[in-house]
Amino acid sequence: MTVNMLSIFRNISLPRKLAARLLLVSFFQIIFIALGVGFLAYLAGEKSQQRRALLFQQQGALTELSLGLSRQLAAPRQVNALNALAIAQGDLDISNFDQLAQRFWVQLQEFPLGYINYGSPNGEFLGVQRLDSGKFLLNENANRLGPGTLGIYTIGSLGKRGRLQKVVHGMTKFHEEPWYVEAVAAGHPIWSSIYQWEDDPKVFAISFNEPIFSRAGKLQGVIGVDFVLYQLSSWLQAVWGKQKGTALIVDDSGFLVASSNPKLLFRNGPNGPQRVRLDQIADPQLRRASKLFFVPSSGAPGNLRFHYSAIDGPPLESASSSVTLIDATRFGVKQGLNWALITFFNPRIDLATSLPIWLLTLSIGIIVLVVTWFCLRWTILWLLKPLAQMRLPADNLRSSLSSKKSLKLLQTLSDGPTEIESLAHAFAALVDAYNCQLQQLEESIERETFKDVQAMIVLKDKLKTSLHAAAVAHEINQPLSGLLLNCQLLLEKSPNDSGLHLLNDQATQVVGTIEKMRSLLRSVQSAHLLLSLADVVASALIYARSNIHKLNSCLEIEGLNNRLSILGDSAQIQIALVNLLRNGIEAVYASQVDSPRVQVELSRQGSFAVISVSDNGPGFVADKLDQLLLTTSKPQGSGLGLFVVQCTMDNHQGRAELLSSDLGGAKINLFFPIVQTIDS
Amino acid sequence: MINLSRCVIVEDQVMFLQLLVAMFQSKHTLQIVGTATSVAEALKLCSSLTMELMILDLSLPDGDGLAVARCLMQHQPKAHVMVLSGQANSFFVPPDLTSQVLAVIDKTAAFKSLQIALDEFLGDPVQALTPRQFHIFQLIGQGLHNKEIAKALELAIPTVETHRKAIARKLQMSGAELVRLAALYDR
Repeated sequence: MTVNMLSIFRNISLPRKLAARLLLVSFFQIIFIALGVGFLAYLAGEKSQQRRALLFQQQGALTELSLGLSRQLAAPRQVNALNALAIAQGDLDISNFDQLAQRFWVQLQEFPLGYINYGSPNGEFLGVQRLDSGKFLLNENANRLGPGTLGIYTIGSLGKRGRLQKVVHGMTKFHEEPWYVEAVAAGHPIWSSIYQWEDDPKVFAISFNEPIFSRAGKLQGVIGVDFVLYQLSSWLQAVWGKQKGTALIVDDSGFLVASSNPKLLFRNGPNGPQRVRLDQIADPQLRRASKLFFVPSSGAPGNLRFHYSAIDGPPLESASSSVTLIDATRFGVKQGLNWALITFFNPRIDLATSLPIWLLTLSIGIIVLVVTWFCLRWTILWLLKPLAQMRLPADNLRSSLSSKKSLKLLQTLSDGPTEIESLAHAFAALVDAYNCQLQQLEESIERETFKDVQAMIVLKDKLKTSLHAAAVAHEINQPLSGLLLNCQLLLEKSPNDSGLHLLNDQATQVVGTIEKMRSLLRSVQSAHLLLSLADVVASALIYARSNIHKLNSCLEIEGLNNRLSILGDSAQIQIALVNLLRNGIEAVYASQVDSPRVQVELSRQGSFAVISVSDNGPGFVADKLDQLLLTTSKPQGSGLGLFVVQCTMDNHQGRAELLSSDLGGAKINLFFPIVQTIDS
Repeated sequence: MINLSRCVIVEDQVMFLQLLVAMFQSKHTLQIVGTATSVAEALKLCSSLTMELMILDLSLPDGDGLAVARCLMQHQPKAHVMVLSGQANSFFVPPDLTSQVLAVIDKTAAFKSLQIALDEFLGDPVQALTPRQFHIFQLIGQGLHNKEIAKALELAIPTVETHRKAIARKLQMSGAELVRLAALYDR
């Protein structure tokens, strides 16, 4: 499967033009990034909408709860108002407890109330109670059973007093419970604080009470409606339970008034059940709510008070595993209740199952980055491929240059951008051409070197032979000089003696040969001293003028005032220079030019002192210039003249240069390295 | 009319010395005033004899001929030296002697080279001839008789004869000597 996918991917033909390929890659990258960003934006929007929906749900539920609670708390007002009105109108006689009991029973049938009661200023009390079982009881503390004694009666059908069920003794003679005392003190209808029933301390209740006054303003008693906290909790449970959260009614000291979970309401203290404060509950959510919405009371240490800014703020989101909105709203301020409604709302939309938005953002971001990185890398590698292949022949060339191996030509190039590929082809061709040229050059150098070596061998053989003869030469020379002079003197007297002529010619020939040998010998050994080259040239010219007779008429000298110091052997240089002068003279006279000229010039070229000998003879044959130093160009020449010059230049770390002269003939430059002396 | 030049020859090979003396006899303006075969003898001559020219061999049995040249320069700065050596081509003329040394001649080429050098030193009388005289001198050298010269130059024969006598007088030569000189004169 994967292999198939890969092969399909490989078979897709991508554009080979660099511009097209870059466009394609950029296009795909932009699409990919746009999709990623779009998806992230969609997710963020959806998340935000879900949050708004959740908020609306919570607000709806909360409104419903507030309305219900208001209705619950409206019933006591209405009942009290009806009863007070009836008493004022005289329809209801507060001294007739049976009538009162019957009226209270009727009202309990119609209103969602638990207890309606009346207390007279003389301590009499009547209350009708709704039991959880749906039955009713009549509690009466009147003169019927004696003061301080409470009689509990059943109530029959149509509200008629039934049999006495229980008698409770030891009740207070006068009303001391908060519902009565607070209402009397206030002088108007009022909600009492929460209190425990005197006859049943397990029951915590809050009541709405209204003091009754006669027309003269005399207190006639207090009528009230009790809300048993437990029953309020049951109602809360019924109303809020479907929201999958907890709803609490808390008073301004942090104590629970009602809870959708009624078990939380009380705890067992040493004197029976006690009310529970929010921060005393172990549940972490409720603890958090207590920290959010309450602060320690500054007036009463250990007590709590509302944190108003938090209570009035918007719902808060729980950071726990599941999303829960925690909200607190004040309730019943107008009625003087000063409660807070704390709700925990679990949404029906299951936001907790979807991934957290930051994780999604991060993962999509990473995916986009990775894909973009791969795209770029792929493009860049593709771009670099032909460049890398250009390196290959360059490396080959370098290694072959260093190792002198045979050169390998460029392999075929693979697919890369056509622009760079064509460049690489051109480069490869260039390298190939260069390689080819280099190879040819190397071969020709090898050939030339081989030739030179052969020539040197030949010359060394010549030299060896000459050396043997040289020792003899000097000895021969001495008597020969005498012989020659004698012979020439005799010839003067008898110029037609052919025998003398022959003798003279042969002796002259011997002298010439000996002279050449000695030149050679002199050019092999050298003793270097610091010399002024001008002095050497001057000395050589004295000799040359004395012995090369035709020279005087055509010699031109220049630059002898140049003081150029070299390290050298004066005799060697002199012999070499005389050889060149002799060659020059022979050349100009052999070619029979009109006005023969031989020029000697001393000059400086950079770090070299240069002796130039030029003539206006026929000059060198151009294509044989490099061979001239080693061979003869004259019919009777031995090839030793220029060889002596070459040896001399080698001995002096200099060089000889054969050129064409401005005079029209040959020119030979002898380069000697100049020595910097202190004077110069 | 013509100043004589005094000459000393220093040469250790006696036979060669004698040949030189014999050779120099043909030079009318040169007078050999002394000869030496060693450095010691030569040094003595430098201080005792006045000379204009010294023919000097370099390799002498008791030392280097250069010492003689320097001694001569010291005593007689105006005197000149012609070095005649078997190793002339490798002889480097010391810079202090360049003005004194007129020529460095190979012994083996002594006859011709020395002749030319001497002629130059003594002054060539041929150079003193007028152009017309020199032309006639050249034609004599080519072996032409007076009649042929007169024809070539479109002159009268007596005129050529007068020219010829004047040339011989100027060169202080007899008629035969003039023919020989003209034939040898190759410049």
